[in-house]
Amino acid sequence: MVKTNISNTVILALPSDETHTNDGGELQFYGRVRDIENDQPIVALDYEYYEGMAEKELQKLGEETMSRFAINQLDCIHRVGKIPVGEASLRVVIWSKHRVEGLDAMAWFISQMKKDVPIWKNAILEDGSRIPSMCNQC
Amino acid sequence: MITIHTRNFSLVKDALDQQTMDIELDDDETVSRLLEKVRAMNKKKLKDLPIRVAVNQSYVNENYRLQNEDMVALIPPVSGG
Repeated sequence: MVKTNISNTVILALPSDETHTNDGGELQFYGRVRDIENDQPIVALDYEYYEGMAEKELQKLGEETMSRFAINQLDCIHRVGKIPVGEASLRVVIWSKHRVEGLDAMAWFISQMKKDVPIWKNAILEDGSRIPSMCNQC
Repeated sequence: MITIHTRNFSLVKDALDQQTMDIELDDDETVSRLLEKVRAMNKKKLKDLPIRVAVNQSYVNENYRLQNEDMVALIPPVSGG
């Protein structure tokens, strides 16, 4: 099963899901807004996205991840809009029978997301000015 | 002639200072020709910027032949996560 969503609401931490009794691995990944961008202190990231296509590409990517790796469920939510430092912009949860498949699937899914899903971010500096934030470490 | 409608995102939007544009092309023009026209609008900022194109919300390659009234997204490198 794949569940994906793009939302402007706060992403909360989830408790472990003990109903997945067939899965030995449950991975939770949170991407958070750092306080430094290009060596400059920032107060937030502002995410822009292509509404309609971004949702479609994220869901398609989740389904492709399911077909490539032996995992049983992938849930992903990406937050958009202005996100203050310290808060989560991304949550991905993957359940799999064994850990290796889950870890590989997580790495691949996030890497591909940063190539294909039409979402962009600008860093907001302390003086209110904005600079594009590129994926230099992707 | 055909008219296509663009949506410009992130660095493309900043370089053109427009969120949307209507662009006229000859019949059967490709995405490659469209990108030539777009880059000519701000050579300094767009000359070396990779731009992917989506038509009606699906990525297409540079050989794709555009149709009248296509909705075209100009997509610079993405940076989600």
